[in-house]
Amino acid sequence: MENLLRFLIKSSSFLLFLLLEIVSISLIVSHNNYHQSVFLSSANVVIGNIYETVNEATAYFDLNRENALLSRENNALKNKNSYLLKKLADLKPNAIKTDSTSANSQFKYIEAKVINSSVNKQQNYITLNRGSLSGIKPDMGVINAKGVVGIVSTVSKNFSVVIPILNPRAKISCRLDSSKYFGSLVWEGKSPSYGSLEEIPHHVKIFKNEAIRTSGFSAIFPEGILVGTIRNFDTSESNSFYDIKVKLAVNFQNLSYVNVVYFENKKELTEIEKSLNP
Amino acid sequence: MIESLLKNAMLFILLVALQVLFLNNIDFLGFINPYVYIWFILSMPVAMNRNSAIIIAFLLGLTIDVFSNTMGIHSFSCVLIAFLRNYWINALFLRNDFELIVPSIKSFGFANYIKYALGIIFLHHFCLFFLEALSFDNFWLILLRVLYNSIVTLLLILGFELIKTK
Repeated sequence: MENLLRFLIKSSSFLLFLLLEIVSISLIVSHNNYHQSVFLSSANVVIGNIYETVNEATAYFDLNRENALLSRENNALKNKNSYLLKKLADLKPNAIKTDSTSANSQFKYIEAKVINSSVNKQQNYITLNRGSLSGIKPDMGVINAKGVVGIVSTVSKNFSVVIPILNPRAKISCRLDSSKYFGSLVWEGKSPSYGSLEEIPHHVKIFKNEAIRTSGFSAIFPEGILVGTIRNFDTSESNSFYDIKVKLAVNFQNLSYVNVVYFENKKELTEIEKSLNP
Repeated sequence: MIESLLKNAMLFILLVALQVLFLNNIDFLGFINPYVYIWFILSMPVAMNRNSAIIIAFLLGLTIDVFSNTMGIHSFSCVLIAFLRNYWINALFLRNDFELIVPSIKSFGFANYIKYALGIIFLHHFCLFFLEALSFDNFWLILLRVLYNSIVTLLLILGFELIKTK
């Protein structure tokens, strides 16, 4: 007994070392579940506020570029608006009552600001300055003017953490522009500008610089949001799918304002899908 | 006693702030992201109680983890280097040479300090980058990142040391 006690005291630092390493490993393992705890992430109130304050101070350096981007987006929206007005005018004389709940009109957007992000890790995250009080919930899509950014994972009252495309945990269902074939976009952890499109079989015809858009299957993103363009592709002998390298549409190095996608009928959709395969 | 505690607490906060607010955001060449905060662990006195050194290293790593959404990987790497640090010092230098001494360029000498620091920085970065990837798929790419980042971290820490001795 005495020997055991002496041994424990003598090797107490080794035991402490083992204990803390086990705690760390269990943190790593539990963190890999999709929804992490709010307390131990940057959605935590204290940390969210620190990032927000610093971001407010540094945001000024980006104003020029942001303004240019906003005015470009404004312009595009105006063009679209005038086109739609014209179309509406064309339809008016013999107006047919159309179904107001057509696919993309069910989506609404919540504007949010990126207050922290990384691009050079193996698993990158983005923190937004909006949380559940603004209506953000886990599993909502996040886009910006250029294309798809990622998917919301953790939400606190005033902040939320987004898993961007630049994280192997994000997998986004995509559609080829020309052939309408579906595949999923994953990131291999190499460059923040490129991802790869999987599950496109050899017999499909694909083209360089072809656009890849969201499929709209998952009710996370509206259909047809740009994800990226095909940079180059390869056929590998080992399996029946292409290796496709995709240039991502969004520049993750200078993200600033994003839109969180809110699908009004999501609950109804998941319920009806659940009822089909109980 | 209280003065040194206060000083160390300030250093802890400053290094964490420098790391999460500035260094984690630099994106030099796409993969350079030095982890200078481990200077805190490098500079703990040689004869310091090992248990408290391990606990402090764990808290430091956990703080960085919470800020960068990387649960566990910094705390794991920090606890590892805090535990192995004394063995490394004993392996490099004659026993009892440096009892009661704070590791620095001044006390160790330039060449010895580089040996000491580089070993620990490399171990920390190696552990960190592979835990982050959680696979050996891109082994050589990640090893290259470990090497580059270790060198940048070492240079920055040497810079801090030089400023401190001035």
